[in-house]
Amino acid sequence: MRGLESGERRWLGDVVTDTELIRALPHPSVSQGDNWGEKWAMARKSLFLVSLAALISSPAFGEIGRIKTTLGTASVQRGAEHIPAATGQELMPGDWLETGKDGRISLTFVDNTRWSVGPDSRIALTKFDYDPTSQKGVFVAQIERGSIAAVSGRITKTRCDPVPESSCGVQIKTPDGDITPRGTRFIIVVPR
Amino acid sequence: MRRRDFAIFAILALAGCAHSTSVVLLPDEDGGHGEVAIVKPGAAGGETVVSQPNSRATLRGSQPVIRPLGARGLKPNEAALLTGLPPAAKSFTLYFVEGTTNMTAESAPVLDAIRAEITERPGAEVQVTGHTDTVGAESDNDALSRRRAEEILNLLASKGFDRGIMSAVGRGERELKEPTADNVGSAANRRVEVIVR
Repeated sequence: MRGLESGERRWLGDVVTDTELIRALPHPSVSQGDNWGEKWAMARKSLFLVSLAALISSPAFGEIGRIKTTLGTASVQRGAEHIPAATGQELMPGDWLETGKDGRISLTFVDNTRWSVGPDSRIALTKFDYDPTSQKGVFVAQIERGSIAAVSGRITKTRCDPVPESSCGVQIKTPDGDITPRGTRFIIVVPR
Repeated sequence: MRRRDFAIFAILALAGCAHSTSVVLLPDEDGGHGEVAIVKPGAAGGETVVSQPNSRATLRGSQPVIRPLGARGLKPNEAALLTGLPPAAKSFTLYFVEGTTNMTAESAPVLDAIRAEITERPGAEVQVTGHTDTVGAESDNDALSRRRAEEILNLLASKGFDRGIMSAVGRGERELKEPTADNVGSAANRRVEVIVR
């Protein structure tokens, strides 16, 4: 018999959803005592938490990218907090990348955009909304000072009409003008 | 060059290089190139487009000035930025036995290559996406594609890679590698794609 690419077959090791697991629990019955229902509710709850924990293998919610390498003085400002930059560190919308005179940061974004940040930089990752399914999104950054080399990711491959449009594409703000890369490799230097 | 001319040249050079924002458009790594649009603040004239690779735009005055990089090429600080870029993401494909979450025998070495790639990259991230062919119901294939992705994620986790750097999703029969009609078996479509970034 030709196997189905997917079927109703269930076997050991199958991944089932939370609701399936919870439904599979024995239902309370009168013979099991009065508070069995309560215990069952607790079991449901703890099982839900356990299975939830097992399912969380994806990166942090809201993550827009990660730091790959750092050199010298480099940090991420998140709100009032200054976090020393470290390999593997997750980045969130609203973060500021800061480097000192000897500092460098390299990073990648979830749409495969790649950046290299030079010394004496202060750069905001103002907005980053990316839908991995449609591969569309919007990315707004602000270079207050400093420099980047960048290789565009999926987000800039989206053609926006008209340009710039608030819901689409990439915009990098500098004190001397706004820069919109469209699928390319480029360098921006903003002197102090 | 006369002294006065040299002085003017020096002033212009300083003004152009040291005190205004510059944008360099480079060819892509694959040889093609995109473009960069520049909008000056408060400019009524809309955008200036840099479309020739190896050009430098200086954002000074009311209109950006675009010049070829020329023989001098990049400045040392610009070249250092390029060297610092992380490597491009790398993509791998694993194939599966029909209707199962079992990898084909041929895919085993690919999994080894994925492990080597993750180990090599500082701060590596792994994106696992499961797919199926079009045999069976769409909803069942969604579940199967997710299980395939989770199987690979679990295999990698069992080799000691942190789950926090990995994510798994199933795309069912939505993104066929080999386009087919519904209910057509296809070994090329029964796959998991792994992107190491």
